[in-house]
Amino acid sequence: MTEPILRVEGMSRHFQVGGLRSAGVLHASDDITFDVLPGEIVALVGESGSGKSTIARVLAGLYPPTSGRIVFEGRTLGKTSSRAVRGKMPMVFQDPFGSINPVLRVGHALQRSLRLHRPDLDSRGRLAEAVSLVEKVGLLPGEEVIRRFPHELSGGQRQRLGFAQALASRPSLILADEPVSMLDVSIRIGLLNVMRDLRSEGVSLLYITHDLASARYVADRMIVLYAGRIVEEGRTEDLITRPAHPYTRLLMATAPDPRLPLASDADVEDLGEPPRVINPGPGCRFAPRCPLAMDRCREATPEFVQITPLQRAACFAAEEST
Amino acid sequence: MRQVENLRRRLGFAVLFVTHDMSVVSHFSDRLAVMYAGEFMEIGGTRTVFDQPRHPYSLGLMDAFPSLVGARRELVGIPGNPPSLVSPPTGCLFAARCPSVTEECRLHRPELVDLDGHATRCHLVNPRRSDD
Repeated sequence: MTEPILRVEGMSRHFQVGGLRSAGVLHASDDITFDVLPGEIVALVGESGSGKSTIARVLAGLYPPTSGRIVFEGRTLGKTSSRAVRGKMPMVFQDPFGSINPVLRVGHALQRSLRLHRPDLDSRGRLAEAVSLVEKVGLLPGEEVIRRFPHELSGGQRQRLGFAQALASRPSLILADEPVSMLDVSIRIGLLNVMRDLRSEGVSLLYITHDLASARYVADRMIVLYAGRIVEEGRTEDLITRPAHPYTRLLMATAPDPRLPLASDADVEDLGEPPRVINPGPGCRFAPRCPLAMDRCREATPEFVQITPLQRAACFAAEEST
Repeated sequence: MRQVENLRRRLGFAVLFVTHDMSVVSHFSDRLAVMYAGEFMEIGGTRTVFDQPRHPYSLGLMDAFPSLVGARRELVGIPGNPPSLVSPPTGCLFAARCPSVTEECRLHRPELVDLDGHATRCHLVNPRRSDD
């Protein structure tokens, strides 16, 4: 079997919240375990409050995990990530206007990261590489694009530039946190296609999103989060066609889709946001909203059951029906 | 969204919903106006515009959504970017990105023409008469 590029083992991240008297521990993510294989696109899907961005930030080294282990390219990551690790696992952010230095020309910023991460290149090599990077993400013609300032680029072009910058350090895994949610619809698909094309660069991608349909479009595998825990994981098409966890089914049913007849979602119950999990007790966190909830679900935390060798769900009801 | 919908039913106000997320309005609004570069390109009943879009821009938008239903297929979206609004082009504002663009489109800005309550701003849908 291929060695995973990234292995997350039992990772939790908790935060202290509240004042002296109302102090509590917010469980932003709990017992997260998953792999990303070389060249694979994995989608982390969840609503706001599901813990998906916390996972991305822990992976990017913005803060350390409370417990658990992250193994990247065979090495366990320490408390702070080194520049080399950040280069191998860069992050593309949601906001293409806030995440790019506005006073540097496109080519200048790229060549600066090339100087850090590609000591093998001389100045002519860096220039050629900068041109090739912007062309790889569909910014054409490259020679002209690298002479522009970020304000001369549209939101979609800037987000493509975000990926070009991520590629500059020859990464093995790119973390992309909601990279298209601020872009116009007509531009979004172009960027999703750029993300899919990363596969041909041999780069893995962890695509973090709340949008199931775009996750389906780009990802090989999907991981569904609810209130800080993984509830289901499997190959994208398996999850879409045969979701096993009641939460995944609810997500599918509530995703608005212009191709479906009007009002088809009128009878689906409002989901609301996932709860903030402070000082949680045992039990499935989805139980209060779950149409299939049993007594068991409120008393114990469900373990994963294998639905198929490639699909697993943390649900007692799914366990009983397999 | 459901909250707004319930309040609207109860209190009877109208809602002007401004968004770039068409999948949301598809299940929410009665009428839909598709805007591009500051102009209405198409306006009509929401379902009509979704099911029988007439303007090439609307057609392109419909083809820009990944979907959860049906087979997974390649989407292209609409290549290019909106025009500069400081010095807009003379003809149709969408001409530079339009897959069905003609010479006419580059020369004359089309009018918004209402046929059966579904209006479109496009020479292909509403050919100009020669005596114009």
